[in-house]
Amino acid sequence: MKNLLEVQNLTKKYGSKIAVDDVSFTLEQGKILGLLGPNGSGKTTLLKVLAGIQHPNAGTAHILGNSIGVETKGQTAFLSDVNPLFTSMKVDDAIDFYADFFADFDKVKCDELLDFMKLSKNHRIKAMSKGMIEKLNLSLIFARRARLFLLDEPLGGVDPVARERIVTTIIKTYSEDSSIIISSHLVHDVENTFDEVLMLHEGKIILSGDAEDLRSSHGLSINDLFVKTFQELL
Amino acid sequence: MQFTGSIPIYEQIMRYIKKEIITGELNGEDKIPSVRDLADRLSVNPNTVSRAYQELEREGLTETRRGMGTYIVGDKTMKDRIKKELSQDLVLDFIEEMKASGFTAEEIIGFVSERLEKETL
Amino acid sequence: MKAVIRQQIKARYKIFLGNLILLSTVSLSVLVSGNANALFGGGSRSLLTYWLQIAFVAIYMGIPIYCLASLIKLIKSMVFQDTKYLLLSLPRRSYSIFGGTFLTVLLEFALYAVCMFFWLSLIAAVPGSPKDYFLPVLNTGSFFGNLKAIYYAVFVKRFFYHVQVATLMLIYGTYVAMVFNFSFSLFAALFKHKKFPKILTIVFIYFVFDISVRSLLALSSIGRASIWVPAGITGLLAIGFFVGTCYLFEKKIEG
Repeated sequence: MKNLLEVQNLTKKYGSKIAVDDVSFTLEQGKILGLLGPNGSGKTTLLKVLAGIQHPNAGTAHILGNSIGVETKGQTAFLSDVNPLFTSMKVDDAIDFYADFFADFDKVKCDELLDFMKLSKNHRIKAMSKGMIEKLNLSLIFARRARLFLLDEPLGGVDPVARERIVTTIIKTYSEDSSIIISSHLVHDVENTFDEVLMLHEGKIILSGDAEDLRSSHGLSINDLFVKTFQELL
Repeated sequence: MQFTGSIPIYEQIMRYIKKEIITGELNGEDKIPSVRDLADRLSVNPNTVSRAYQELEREGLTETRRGMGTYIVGDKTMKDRIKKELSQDLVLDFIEEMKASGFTAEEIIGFVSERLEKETL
Repeated sequence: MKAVIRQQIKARYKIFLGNLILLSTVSLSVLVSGNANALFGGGSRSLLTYWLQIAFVAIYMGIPIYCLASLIKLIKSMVFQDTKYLLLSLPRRSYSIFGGTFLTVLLEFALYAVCMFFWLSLIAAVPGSPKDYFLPVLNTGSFFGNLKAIYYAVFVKRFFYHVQVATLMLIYGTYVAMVFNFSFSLFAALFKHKKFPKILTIVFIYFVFDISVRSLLALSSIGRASIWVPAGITGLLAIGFFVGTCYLFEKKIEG
């Protein structure tokens, strides 16, 4: 299986604080990676660097052989935990925007997803609740046939029913050509989607491996393993 | 289907299919859902389902026919074989758990007989 | 850049049409109110003409100010608001995003200018309009005669002169806009994750202006003869600040 993502000695600092500390890992095509860690462990920063929104201080990251730049941005779909859309837009303006800038955007799929999430196209973003905006952003992201999906807390701020829908959407979006990195606090809700797991603490990788192997070798769910690992550390 | 997080999910999927074979829900020559379908239905990673299917095939319980899908092998002795394996797994899990809770072997046998008698009444 | 321009047009066209309608309504009212003399001359006026006068001045001064303000603020949504996450993740070079936005806004202003010229020419052509308010025009005594004279004067007789004036306005306007945009970007690059305090705007802009105006004056003393030397230098500075802004956006601005 081909490596879709190769990260080598990636470091990112904010002033004197090291957010991502000499991180190296690879992700094969067709795999889903769970990125876990407490607040401030560097998960969001790592995702932002891979999305090209932040620039690393040291190290490299390559997506399908290209280092992070304009070309990889066309192959990467980043779901941030902050709403990046212009609030003056309506839902169909946002769709048009995505369709214009991303060649891999699938309008038909977007309509299906919006339907599934029960969102209407005429709604003004200004008038939408936080949960609705998150579902919208999710629909826009998943309507792209990106090679690498970077999801930062995709389940945060939505009700349990919506969470289930989001997990279902993640599984339906899965394809052998693409890979997904999911960072989430709600490990229990989403751990069944993981192929691999990476746990970060203060910017460093403290645990990594195949999800199923971790379950059988520790005899714990990934959620419990997370709790156990970080209880010992913190 | 609810999954326990502490046991690999692919193993749980395999057990589920084996149970269906024992209870007669799934018989020889029956087609099981595609990897994609089952993954969607169970909300698990398709690779996990794939792994379960591969293991089932390795154990001789299923076979994949090109272009058609995955089928349960129509072997009569298979059902008995699985029954025996599964029963051993279940009994082992049960005994381990009971022992961990502090019960002796005699107590365990006693409780089991008592319970089964009540059920036949 | 096509996508950028298309999306910017989409985002701006409603306000643009609104402004155009407002402009045309006020101008038409002034035109139709009969006598521009009453409007711009002395003497008593009715309440209506009073308000028309205010509206006219407000619009004709307001639109250029609105234009300049828009140009200056171009980069703001790209570096100070949450929308920067979206813009930074677009698979486009920064010159495409920034340049495309700039061109769209410039186009909008050109259209405003055309519209304003159109109405002003009509108003000036009305016989009896005080010539003191407009370019000296042959007062032929008829509306269409005046109109023809105006268009002739602007587009034929002194065409080159007008083209030069327009070009100079473009150069200096772009320069001012680029200075502001560069300052905003520089602030965002140096002080990450801070919102832009208005006070610092003035400080920053002052410094950038100061340096460039000084170099301008220094260099323009070289070829004193023509107005095009300082204009050329201004143009180069404008390009420099544009490139600087794009560079900062791509390499130094982070989300």
